[in-house]
Amino acid sequence: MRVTTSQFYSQSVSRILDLQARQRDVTNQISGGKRITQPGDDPVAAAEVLQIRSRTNAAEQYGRNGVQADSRLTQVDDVLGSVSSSLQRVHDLVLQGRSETLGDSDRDSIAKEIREQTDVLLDLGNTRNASGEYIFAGATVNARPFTADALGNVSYNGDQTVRELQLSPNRTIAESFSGRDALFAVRNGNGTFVSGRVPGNTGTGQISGNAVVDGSSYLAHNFRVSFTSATTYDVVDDTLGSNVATAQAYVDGAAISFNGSEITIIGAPSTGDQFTVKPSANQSMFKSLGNIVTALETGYNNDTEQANFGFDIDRALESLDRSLEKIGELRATAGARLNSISAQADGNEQVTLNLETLRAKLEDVDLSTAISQLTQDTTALEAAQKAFVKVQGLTLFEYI
Amino acid sequence: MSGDTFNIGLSALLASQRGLATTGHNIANVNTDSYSRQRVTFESRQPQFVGVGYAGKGVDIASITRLADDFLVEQVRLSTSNQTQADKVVELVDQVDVQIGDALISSSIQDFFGAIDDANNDPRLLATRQVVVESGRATVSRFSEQEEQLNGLSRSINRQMAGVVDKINTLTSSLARLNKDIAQGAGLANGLPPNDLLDKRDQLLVDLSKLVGVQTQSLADGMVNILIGDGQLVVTGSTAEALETVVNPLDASRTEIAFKVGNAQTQITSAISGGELGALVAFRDETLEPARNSIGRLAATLAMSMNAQHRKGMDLNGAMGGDMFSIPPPVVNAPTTNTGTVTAAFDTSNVGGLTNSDYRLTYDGTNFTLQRQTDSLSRTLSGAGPFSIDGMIITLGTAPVAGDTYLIQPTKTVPRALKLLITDPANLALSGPVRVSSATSNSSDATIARAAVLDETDPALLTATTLVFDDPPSTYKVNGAGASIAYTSGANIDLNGWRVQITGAPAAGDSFGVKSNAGGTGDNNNGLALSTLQSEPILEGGTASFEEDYAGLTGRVGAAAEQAHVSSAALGSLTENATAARDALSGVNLEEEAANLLRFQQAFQAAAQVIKAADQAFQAIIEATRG
Repeated sequence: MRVTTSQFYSQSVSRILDLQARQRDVTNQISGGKRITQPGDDPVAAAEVLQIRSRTNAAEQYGRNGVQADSRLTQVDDVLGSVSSSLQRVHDLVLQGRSETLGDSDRDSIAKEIREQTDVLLDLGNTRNASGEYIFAGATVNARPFTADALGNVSYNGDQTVRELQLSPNRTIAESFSGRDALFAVRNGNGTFVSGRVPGNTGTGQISGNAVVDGSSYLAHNFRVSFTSATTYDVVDDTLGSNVATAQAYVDGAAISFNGSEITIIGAPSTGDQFTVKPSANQSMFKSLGNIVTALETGYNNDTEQANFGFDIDRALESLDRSLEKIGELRATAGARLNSISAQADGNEQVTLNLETLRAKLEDVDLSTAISQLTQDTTALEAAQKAFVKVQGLTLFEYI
Repeated sequence: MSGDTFNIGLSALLASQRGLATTGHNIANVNTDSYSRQRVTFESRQPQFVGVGYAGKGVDIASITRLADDFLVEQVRLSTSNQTQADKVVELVDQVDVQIGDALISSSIQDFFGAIDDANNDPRLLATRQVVVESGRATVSRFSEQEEQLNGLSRSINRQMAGVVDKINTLTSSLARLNKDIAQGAGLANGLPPNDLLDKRDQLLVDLSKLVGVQTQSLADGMVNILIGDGQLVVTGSTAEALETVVNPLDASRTEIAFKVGNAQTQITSAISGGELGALVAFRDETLEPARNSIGRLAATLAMSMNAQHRKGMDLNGAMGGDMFSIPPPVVNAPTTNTGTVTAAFDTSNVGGLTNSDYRLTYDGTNFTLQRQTDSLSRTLSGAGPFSIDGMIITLGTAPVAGDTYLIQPTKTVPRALKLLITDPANLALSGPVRVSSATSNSSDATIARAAVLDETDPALLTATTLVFDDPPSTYKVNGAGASIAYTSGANIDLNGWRVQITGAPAAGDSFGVKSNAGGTGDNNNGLALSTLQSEPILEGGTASFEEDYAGLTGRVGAAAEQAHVSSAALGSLTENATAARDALSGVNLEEEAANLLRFQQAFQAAAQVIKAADQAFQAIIEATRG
């Protein structure tokens, strides 16, 4: 094929320009560190990189949410720990106060200390987090959730909402507990039923034990153990208005069983004394403490009063135990949540790392390849330039 | 006798001179575009019978011809046209590709949702809420800036189209004049070709084909007719017909190419291909407008989804959320010649149905036909409407007349007019509107789940309501009165626009409450629902999240850019080959011309010697006869 002069020039020049453009591209890649400078360089990878970025950002956000949830749950756990030790202290004081060797003044001073602990607990219930929110107030975070009136009756002003934080696209985690559930509405008695005495009992009968022995036959009815004499009693189902058992022989310390429940009465009840067994109801922790204080301050002057005092203290201790159990359960839940937050955080970190590796693979330039490419292109460019100059000098006009 | 030799020498001298001149002309035009090298053909003169035979009388110049092949020239023209189009498309698509690739919209959406998440962690704080408002505003700005850039590109396309059409018209009138010169020149030269005029016309045709793809028809008198589009004769012999740019009557933002045949003006934009004009048309229809519609759809879908969820929440003041964004309705363009009226609105119940297309609506006297522009899918709308199609609701107004035409652009203008309605951070509806509770007096452990909002417009939504269980607790009553309703653990209880579930075994007398969440400033229930919209597949009929949709757009524009680069490179080498093929025949090679120069120089010197010899012979005779 004939080669023409202008073609020789234009082709040589366009080859040199091409090589320069490639050199520029590779240099840009090396200096920018990116293989893709605009989506058109690799549309599939570019679209994927965008999605990876968005997922990495989301993972970072979830990480931040996790840190927030972690710090708040840790605070809740700490506060509940304080609640627990305070209740434990009260528990010890109550056991001490029940002792028959104490006098009225001793009981008064114990009552005083329990009042102090009540204030401590009230304060703990009104704890605020770093953002100034009451942590046990539910969603009404601006209002003090636990307030006491002049008589020392504590009321709960929060609601039952528990805020959740987003830990992953499909997972939220509660950052606290409702104060009502934690401190204010705890099942009294043994958690299933609560035994009680009818005011006006004249004997010294006390209940030393109560338990559900057969959950399947347990009936959530109001029962009454009614002494027809000092040695016999009837069991009445007040809900149905019928007798469960009549004229049973009373043995001090023997279990009385009916409908899956079992109570043990000790002491010497008098004719007409009555003991009740009712399904457990929610009771405020503060109410239990108030009952204890009232019992301690009232004290006793005779055997009947002492028996009643013992009875009331026992029931209050029972409820205190329920509160301690409840706090224990909540702390276990908080611990489990904290564990799962840290597992999620580890997972998030792993995901972020994997995404970052993938992104780098898709988007970042492989330096060794790029530099060898640059060397190749530079050599080719030099060769093209030399060839151009050399061939350009070869002309017949030189010789004529 | 010596007179003959003299004449022969003279003819050789003149022929060599012509040869030298032609070689010189070739050398002079070595860098002239489209120049075809010329060659002198010689022939021996008619001989004279001199009794003993025919005696030669020297040399004549038969013709000066150019070495050119119409087919090769046409190949160059064609590939140049395609290559110019491809190069221009690269230039245009790269602009969009780089803009979309910056992904400012995508990252602003991420920031927006990140801000919502942060606010969910501290819903009570005005500071965190303020960040949501600011990043919402930033998202709106990113959308409108992106649209402004693309719209600027669209306006620039209109200007460039007008500029290219002007250049085309200048070239076609030059070509028409040149046609006339060529026909006349060929006539004056008794049919011999006017070489340099032909080359000049070839060059003008290459120049024209860089602007738009052309076809030619050769005529007997040496003229060519020039056609563009699907057969529009812009040059007929020695007359040229101008192209025009007109404003699209259905969309004033679009410039169209028109061509006048007789008195009727027809739009030929869609028939244009090749050259810069072909690139402008193809880029606008295949990349630019779809990208604008995509961004508009993303803005509309984001705004509508956020609005729907935001309306279901309660703000810091205890008021219901309302709309977060204001969204302009789909634009219905109608030419003034229409009789009827049509309006369109977004179908909030089918947000995922929105497409990236514009729609053409025409009335034939009985029915409306709605044609989706991207895939030409036509649907007949019969009846009075309104019609719910592709995420739009089309409502017919004043009675139409056959021939009425509308262009519906559902999403294009959305980014321009999108606004954030929330200015006070307290008005962000992050909490759920109602809160649930179980009474402390309840003797069972049955629980009530957080309420979901089914209908935020229910007037009784915030009315305090209690569900009180009967004895036996297999039924419950609303507010403890009225009819007993059967209870199933975990079943949906739908009332007053909310939905709750009660689980467990409630006891007789247990009561559960639902009431306004006013004051529940620490709640983030609606904020969480807003946040999950980020990963929700909403677009494309419920298959793509906001960011996936944007990534899809990036992929589409990126693929268009990649494709443009690939075809530009491929067509570049095609053009190089076609040019090489043409130059192999027609191009000037200086070495060859140098050789020719020597050849004709020698011939000239030899001819001069012939004349000298004739002269010496003549002198000899003079000398002899003198003596």
